[in-house]
Amino acid sequence: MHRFAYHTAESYSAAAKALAKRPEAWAKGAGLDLLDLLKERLIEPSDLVSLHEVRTPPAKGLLPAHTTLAELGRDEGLAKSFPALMQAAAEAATPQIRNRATLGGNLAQHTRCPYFRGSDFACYKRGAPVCSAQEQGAFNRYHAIFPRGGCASAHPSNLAPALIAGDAIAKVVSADGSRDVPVAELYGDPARGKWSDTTLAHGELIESVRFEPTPLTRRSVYKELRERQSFDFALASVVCALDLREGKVHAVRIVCGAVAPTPYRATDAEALLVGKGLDEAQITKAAAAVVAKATPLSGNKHKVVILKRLVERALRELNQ
Amino acid sequence: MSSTQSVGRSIPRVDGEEKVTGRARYVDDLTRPGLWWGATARSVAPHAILKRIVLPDPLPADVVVVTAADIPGLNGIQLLTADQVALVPEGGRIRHPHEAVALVAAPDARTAKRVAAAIELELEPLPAVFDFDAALRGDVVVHQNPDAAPNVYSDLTFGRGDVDAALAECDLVLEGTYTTASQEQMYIEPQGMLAEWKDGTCYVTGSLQCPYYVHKSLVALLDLPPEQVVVDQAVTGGGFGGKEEYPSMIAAHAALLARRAGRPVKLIYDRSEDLRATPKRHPSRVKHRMGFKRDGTLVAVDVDVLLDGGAYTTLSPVVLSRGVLHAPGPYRAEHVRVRGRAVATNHPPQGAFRGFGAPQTTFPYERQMQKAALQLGIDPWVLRRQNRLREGDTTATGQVLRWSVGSTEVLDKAEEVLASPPPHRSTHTQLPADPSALRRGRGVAFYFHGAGFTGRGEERLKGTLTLALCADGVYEIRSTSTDIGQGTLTTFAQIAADVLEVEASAIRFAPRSTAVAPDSGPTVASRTCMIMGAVVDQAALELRTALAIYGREVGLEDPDDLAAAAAHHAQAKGELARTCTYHSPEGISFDDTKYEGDAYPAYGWAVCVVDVAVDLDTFEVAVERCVHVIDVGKAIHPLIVKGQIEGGTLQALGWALWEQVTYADDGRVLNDRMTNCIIPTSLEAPELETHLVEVPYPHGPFGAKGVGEIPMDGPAAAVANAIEDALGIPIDQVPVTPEVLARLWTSRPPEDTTRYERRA
Repeated sequence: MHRFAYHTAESYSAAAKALAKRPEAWAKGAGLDLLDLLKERLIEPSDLVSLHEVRTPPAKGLLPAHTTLAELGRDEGLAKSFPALMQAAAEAATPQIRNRATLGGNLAQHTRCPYFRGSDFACYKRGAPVCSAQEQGAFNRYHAIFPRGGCASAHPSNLAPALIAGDAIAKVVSADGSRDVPVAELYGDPARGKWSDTTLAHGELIESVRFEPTPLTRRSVYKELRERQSFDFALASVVCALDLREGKVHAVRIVCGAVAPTPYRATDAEALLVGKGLDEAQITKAAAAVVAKATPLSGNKHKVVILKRLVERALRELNQ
Repeated sequence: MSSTQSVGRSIPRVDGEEKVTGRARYVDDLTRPGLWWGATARSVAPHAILKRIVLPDPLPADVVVVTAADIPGLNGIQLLTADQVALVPEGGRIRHPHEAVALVAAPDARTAKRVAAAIELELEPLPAVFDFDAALRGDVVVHQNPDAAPNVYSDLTFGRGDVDAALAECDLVLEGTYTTASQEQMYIEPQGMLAEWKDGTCYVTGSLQCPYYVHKSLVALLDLPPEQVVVDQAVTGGGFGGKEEYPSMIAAHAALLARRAGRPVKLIYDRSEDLRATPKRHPSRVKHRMGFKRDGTLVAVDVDVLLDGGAYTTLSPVVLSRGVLHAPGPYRAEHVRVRGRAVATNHPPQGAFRGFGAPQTTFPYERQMQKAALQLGIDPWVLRRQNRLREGDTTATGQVLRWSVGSTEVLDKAEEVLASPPPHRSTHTQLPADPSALRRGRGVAFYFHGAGFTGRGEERLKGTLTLALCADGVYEIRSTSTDIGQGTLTTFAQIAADVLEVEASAIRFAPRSTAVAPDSGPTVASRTCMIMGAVVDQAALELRTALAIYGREVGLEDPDDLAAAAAHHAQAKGELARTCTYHSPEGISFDDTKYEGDAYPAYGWAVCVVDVAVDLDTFEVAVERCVHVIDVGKAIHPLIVKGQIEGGTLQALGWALWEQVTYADDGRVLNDRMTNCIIPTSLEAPELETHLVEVPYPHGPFGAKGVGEIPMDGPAAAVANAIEDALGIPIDQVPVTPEVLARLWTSRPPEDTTRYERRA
């Protein structure tokens, strides 16, 4: 095993300061993603700064980054205020991982793309000029189906699509202070050599996430499909949130996971629904609009069908 | 029967306590003073001339590097042939992208891996070949046998009757092409070995199935007399065939490193390296023709089997042999022609995996039978019953089935089981779909599996073991039949204990080491209980007889008191041992040039029935019910036997629906981790309804015959038949992943002509 110095932080801002001083240091939450990267010998950090001992006092409407997926997945308050977030947490990974994995780690984790994770392979995110997943004959059944620029990885987070649908705001701390970042803006287009899936700079940490319960978050649902019922990431997932007023769609959110390098918000489909009643025809049209711009790779055409069906199911359920 | 009788009872496993308490020592638990760690530098290119190996300059001080130049003896792994080198030499040819080129040992694993990764290769690339048609055209030659077509490891043909004439007169001739994917054994414990040298003798211990295979390879590679190589099995966490051949490679590497470093060296693969480098199930393409009369009588079978053997011979010819022998199925047919070829490509070599070629040929014939039932309008159960082999029948190799033919019994039992609803509903495998998108179907597979080595294999192996009454009064079995989790030790103990009238827990086992135990043959081919268990039985009987005579000689009060005789002998005269060797039963013979005669001493017979639900929105397939009925001759330990069947069934369902080793277009294994080379979890597993049928095999211990492999053969066809029943489209490939099903469903012909009446 690679040797590194290990630091325990008492607060997120202390951790951010420790990271800022050490350009080769990595932050460690539960360590689930980090341990994989270490085991693959992809990274060799000089220092690890553990966030896992940080505890922030509970506050209404605020989810500390250290909240585990298991805690989110059984939160009865969320079941009423934001069911999609609760469902997204409860569907992730395995019970063992959910007991350990945190909200912050889930948002900041790296893609599961085997080319990214395999040091033998060329990977655009790791600095190669090409994306191996887009080469001829590539293994790409788990990859992106939406325009992807240089990278065809699939975004792995279950929670990000839900939080984006709920207009959630992340509080990001650094050595210099803190700033509020909409969760949607935590993710940007992939760039060559940019490992991280987030827009955060070195030394920036998510301290907490907050959302306002609204008609949208209260009427929301999360749907995902996996190859297996456990120990698996989603082939495709979607969060739909609906604000129906007097029989018409006042507002709607459709945010997809695992189908693009970042969470994918289907704004065309949303626009098509707003201001109209929601019936089976509209649902079908919206689902078709979600995948209208899909450009699947050689091995993942089925993900287009799956995503469409998930959107239909989600909207149908919300319309009941 | 004595009060200690244990055969037929599910007694506690003799290795159970040490495993559940964590005392069992697997190879990675072992250490030695001054131990170093090994790592392997591999080729990356699929096909190339290795011009030069460039070592990092300077090399770290505490590091040794081994190349082919350091091999004292023969640079080859001894299997059927020794064409696979242990390390590719400079000037030699690299034949696959994960081939070992150089080895590194260092005081810690990290340094060893780092240096191995820094080794550079100067290569002269050669064109490579990865598919059957290109390989058979021979434009690129990976392997050339003398007097054979290029890239063909083995080309087998057998049969009887006049197939062409018979097919011409059939009312229905069905032809189909079936493909199956490579599958990883996914034993829990990745492979590893520890080697050390003492006074010129090489000691190797590790995770393995066949100590004497490793021994044979090391003797030649190290150029040592046999007694200066000792191979010992560490507690082994699963094998499924995957630890039949490759442990010889890792042992060779560890031994070379230990020799060079002058200290013990441990070489442990992590999951990714194991997935890339070690052999797996052969991908296959099978063309299958069957001819029927209108009344359902199967008249002729014509099969052409192709297996992708990868870059070296390994065991491909014998995998092919088992595959072709099973290709006509458990059916009467007067006219049979089977051809099979194992083909060389630049994929990493394929090898032994539970089923050993039979799953690849069972899938086609049971798909063909299902299609025939549809076309002929005959109930699939009736069609199978009508054509099934029965006692007294003759197989395609001319073997007369004289005993232990449970074909009728398994079909009867399966129909009886299906007449009732399942005892437990598999609620956890239900799909959460819109009911309107769900389609349900049922599929059946009826099949057989030859137990023990193919043909003359057992005659050549001469499996031997010793059963001894030791000087301390304890009975000890000395055998190199290994326990890899499948229960060898417990089963042997039960057999010996019942003959010797002691508790099974009183039987002791010598290490599975070439230093103390004779060559019992490899632990493969469903042969351990049936073949070597029979030798345990024989040795125990001989020992019992000897003790009875001894008891009379010394004038024991009760000369039939075995315990008293044993105690007296141990005290007065010390050890009493009997070493026995397996001999094929009278009248069993096979001509392995003509493929005529008794291909296997006995067959297991089986029926697998699968109910599936298919979600047409998402193309998920859930197995809602799985009934597996298998004729095992006699279950020595019913729980172990059922465990074997249930594990094998789930492995087979995995091959049918989820599991697939995927290769890049340069031959590299792409999904080299458990997150993308997936196997089913408990949530994919339905309640497995396993039923044993016991039609005794007269030459097996207490009537037992092999059971390890048979459950792997049939479920894939049952799943495909069930999906066809549900959707009305033929499923001729496995695995049936969502993307495969999506493609087949969306491209189905508008009129479905193949559909037959669905069961409720």
